[in-house]
Amino acid sequence: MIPRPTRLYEAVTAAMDAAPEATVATLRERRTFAELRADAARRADLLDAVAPRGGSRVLIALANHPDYIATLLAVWSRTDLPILADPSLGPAEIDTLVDGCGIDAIVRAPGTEAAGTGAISVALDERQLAVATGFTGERPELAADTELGRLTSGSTRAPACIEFSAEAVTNAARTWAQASGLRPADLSLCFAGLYNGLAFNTTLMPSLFTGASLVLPGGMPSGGAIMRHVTTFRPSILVAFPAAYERLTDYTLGSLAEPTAEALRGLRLRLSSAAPLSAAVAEHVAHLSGPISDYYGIAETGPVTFADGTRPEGKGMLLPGVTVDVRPRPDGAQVLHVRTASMGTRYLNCPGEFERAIAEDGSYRTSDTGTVRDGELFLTGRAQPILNIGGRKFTVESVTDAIGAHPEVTDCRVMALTTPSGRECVGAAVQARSALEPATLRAFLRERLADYKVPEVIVVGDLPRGATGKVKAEAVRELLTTSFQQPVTGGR
Amino acid sequence: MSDVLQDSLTRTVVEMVVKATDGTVDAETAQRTDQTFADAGMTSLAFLRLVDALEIRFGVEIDLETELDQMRTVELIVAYLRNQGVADA
Repeated sequence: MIPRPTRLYEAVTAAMDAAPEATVATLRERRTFAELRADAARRADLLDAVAPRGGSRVLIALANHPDYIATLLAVWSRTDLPILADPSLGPAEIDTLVDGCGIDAIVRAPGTEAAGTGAISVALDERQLAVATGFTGERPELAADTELGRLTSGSTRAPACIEFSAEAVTNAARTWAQASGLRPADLSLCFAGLYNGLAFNTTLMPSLFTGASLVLPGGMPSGGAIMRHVTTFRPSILVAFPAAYERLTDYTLGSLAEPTAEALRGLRLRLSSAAPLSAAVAEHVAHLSGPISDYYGIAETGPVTFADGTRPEGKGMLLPGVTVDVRPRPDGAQVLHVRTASMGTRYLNCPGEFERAIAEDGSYRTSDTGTVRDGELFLTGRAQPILNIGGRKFTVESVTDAIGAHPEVTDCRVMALTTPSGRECVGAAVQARSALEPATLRAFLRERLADYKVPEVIVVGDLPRGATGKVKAEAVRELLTTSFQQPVTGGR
Repeated sequence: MSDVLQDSLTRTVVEMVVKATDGTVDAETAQRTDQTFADAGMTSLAFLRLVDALEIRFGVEIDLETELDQMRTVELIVAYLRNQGVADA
């Protein structure tokens, strides 16, 4: 076990100490930066019960809360490696991460069904339980300068842990802070999970470095919840996935109380990323509050553009130090190649995969297609299919693999569907040896997959096939869409 | 089941569940008390649609940090709404 460097910890804490009165709040609680710093020391001591100091790997799988930051600081202060994860990951996915990354402890909500249910655990507070995993296997080696792990599953079957150096993290934060004009007077209301790049790179780290305050609700972003938080806190920046902005479309300007309407108009930035933002949602939010800044970022590279929201046809201007060009990848597809000063180093648990995505000049080969004109990025599509539900991207294979693990399943097809109301969801047509109840299969999948990956539509029966035995994709789509009780108006 | 259907508040909530899920959770499934919405296949995005629909229709404020467990089945939602003073639909 090798202690991690502490450059990132030192930089973050120096910035927080320079702004001790900055706050991180929810509707019920409020912490100053100074309080978080002090509490981090307490948490660091508590963690001794589940992991030795000096290079332990700690998976933080928590919902947003001010004390998330205290725990993150605690892990860094111990010269351990924090790996930030979606708290909705399934137990089997966490098990895979523990084995693949050599994770020593998991910090999660008490009562969460997750790996690391060993006897040794310690409560860091009423919301956080640190559990020793008991991992004793061979651990993959970390790059010498790795100080953070974050997960992606967009390009790999199972969640892959991207290693980041202090330099990469600070470059992402400082570049974004500069491009977005972040000031200590800003208050960001962040509904995106802190483990995600949208929240981590554009909000959490830039705010800590700038001394800007945060509001970190832990609950799900219903339209009502967003309205109540905006009204209460009057933030200057709102950070959320497109699915959260879509929730605002249930509300009209005329239906809002004046304080809410005024608070919405008071936002100077509405940040979004990760999933397509529909024109209807963008227009509605623009009418309620102002334009959505829908920027382009990649888990492996960090933020690529900054969009001020005034040009919805584009994905923003390239950030300083970023290069993007269009070149063929090895299979010939013309895709965007991106290079930033905030690139990840490699995948800890998928040796060689990251390196295969890096071109000779160090650029990351994306699967996105598009162009750059006068420093502005325009996306046109993707060169390979990927599921994207509410901004969470994952491969079809990650779902079909889990379905195929059921002993009764002989074949399946998984695809994205559009519901009659225009919502994206995952559908699965499954062929089984015997009668298999969709509810039984769903329960099986919920043990193995994050909730958002579990297909909303499951149809069990013979897969429609052509004369050659090949499954007919459009017939599968038709089969799945008959589950909707209303006429289907679209698909993809 | 028919007794439940005679309750207009329950019937309204069931209709809202079906609408929020675009019918992927049908009326019969929605009323089952032995499984949660998640068991029935309701995604988090559909769930949020349901929560907003409930707030707008019944004028309640649902705190998903503290009241999530009261939103997991139709039966629980109806009990929650009655507790909030919602008498009928």
